[in-house]
Amino acid sequence: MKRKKTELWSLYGAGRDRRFWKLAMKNITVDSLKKQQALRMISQTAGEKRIISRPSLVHKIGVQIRYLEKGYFVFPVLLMSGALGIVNGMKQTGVREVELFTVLSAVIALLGIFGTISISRLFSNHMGELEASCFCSIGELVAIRMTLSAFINGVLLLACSIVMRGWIQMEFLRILLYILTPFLVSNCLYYAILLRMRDKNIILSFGATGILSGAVWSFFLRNSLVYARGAMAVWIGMAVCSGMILIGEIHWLLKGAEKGEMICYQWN
Amino acid sequence: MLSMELRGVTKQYKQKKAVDDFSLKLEEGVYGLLGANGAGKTTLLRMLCNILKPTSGIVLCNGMEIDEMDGEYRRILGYLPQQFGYYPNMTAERYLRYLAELKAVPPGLIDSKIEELLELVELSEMRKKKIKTFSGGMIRRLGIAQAMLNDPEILILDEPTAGLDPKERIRFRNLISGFSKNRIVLLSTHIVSDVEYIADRILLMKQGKLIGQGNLEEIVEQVEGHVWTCMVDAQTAEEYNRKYAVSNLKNQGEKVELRIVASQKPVEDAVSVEPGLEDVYLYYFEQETEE
Repeated sequence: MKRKKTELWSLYGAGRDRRFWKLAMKNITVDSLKKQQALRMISQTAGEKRIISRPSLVHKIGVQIRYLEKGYFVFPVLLMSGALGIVNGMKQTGVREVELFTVLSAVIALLGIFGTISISRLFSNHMGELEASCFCSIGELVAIRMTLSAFINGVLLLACSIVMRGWIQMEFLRILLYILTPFLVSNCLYYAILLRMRDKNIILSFGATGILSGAVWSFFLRNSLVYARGAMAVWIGMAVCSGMILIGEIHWLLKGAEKGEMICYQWN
Repeated sequence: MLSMELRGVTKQYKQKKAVDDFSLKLEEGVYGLLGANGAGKTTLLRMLCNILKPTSGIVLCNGMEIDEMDGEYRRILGYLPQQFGYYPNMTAERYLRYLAELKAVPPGLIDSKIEELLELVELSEMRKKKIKTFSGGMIRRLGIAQAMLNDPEILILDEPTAGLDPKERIRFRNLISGFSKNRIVLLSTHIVSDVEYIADRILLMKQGKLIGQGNLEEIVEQVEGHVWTCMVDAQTAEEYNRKYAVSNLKNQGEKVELRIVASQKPVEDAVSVEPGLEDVYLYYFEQETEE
């Protein structure tokens, strides 16, 4: 018996599992009644157990991409391609560089609309309250949509800056600044609307603000002094200020969505 | 055993206390929440769903704060809001699939669950149709289906039968009765008969406070001796209708039979009768209904 036991443990220690279990099972008598009872209990407990899925962040992003209307991805690309097409056409006719930026800035002011509409859609048609009751928190959903929109817009703005760099004689960072600033300022306005408006008027307000801010940009930027090297400090100041305001607005939005009052009383 | 508890929950928004120091313990079963408009029912349900945070007090599920449980609490929660949200351009199936993903229903179970629920709420044939083409009753049924997607242990329904026709209401009651085993189902409604048929316990809410709770017999008992019937002529009936809380008015030839809810005998020849839940509602909420 002692030899058998030693043999058994030596097999276990050696990691030869199959032989270990074969030998071990020889020494165990199984009570079939108890086995049935145990199996029944295991099956019952397993049946009662809730099958849990823990979606990863990548999965959550994937869900949002799959269920977002494709227009939110397509329209910004079309808008930017159209703007670059117009700018290229103007360039061929020998228009000044300043004029090119004027057109671009007016279009870029509209670019942020799609992202903010995609966020506001989370709260449209009383969906916010329902989404807030789901496993994925509403703050998470807002953050994912913001990230998606920031990614699309970031890629487009970068691509636009690269294309412009090839067309005009100017430092890349300076071009980026002239393109980024109208985008940040107009986004501040869209987020201000998102924070204050009720669901039914919001799309109209976004559209009106976009067109208005595009018009304002194209009017002010017609002056060539605006693009003078000396005015760079003003551009940087505007970009930094609007960037900070935007961060504040995003923080306020996420906090408001998590707290619930915005969803239940303002957007519902 | 599953349990929920509200401890001194208050929700103040601007100057108004929508829910005022509300304490309650819920265990498995169906609960009917009755109250007039503006009593704070929806705010209470939103706090129970962890959508609104209480100004003070705590909400517990199995002894744990739901705010700390966060997603794990919402995983076992099903909610049908009063103003049911949907994306009008989505088809019923796509909509349920989207919500199933948000509710973290295991991917392998989503298809079968959607199939089962669409069948249950009789919307299988409409699965590929856009929700904007649905009637009010169909939208409500879709709302009930989405609330049950994640097989919730806690089901909270705000005015679930609003917009449903009598046949659909009966179907809904049977559905909830069958579903409620080992779960907490809390429904708020104005339709007293729904509560009467399916609720194991009834909660009465007035001005943000819980003013009474019990099973149907216990609740009805509270207004015993306050419900009367009398036969009067048409002109007097009109006068009494303005003066008292009249729960029923039936023409009987030249005369009118009135069912009046009042603390005192309204007229000399009035006879005291057995109260029903509608009488209870009128007894507690008559003034607020008029407001």
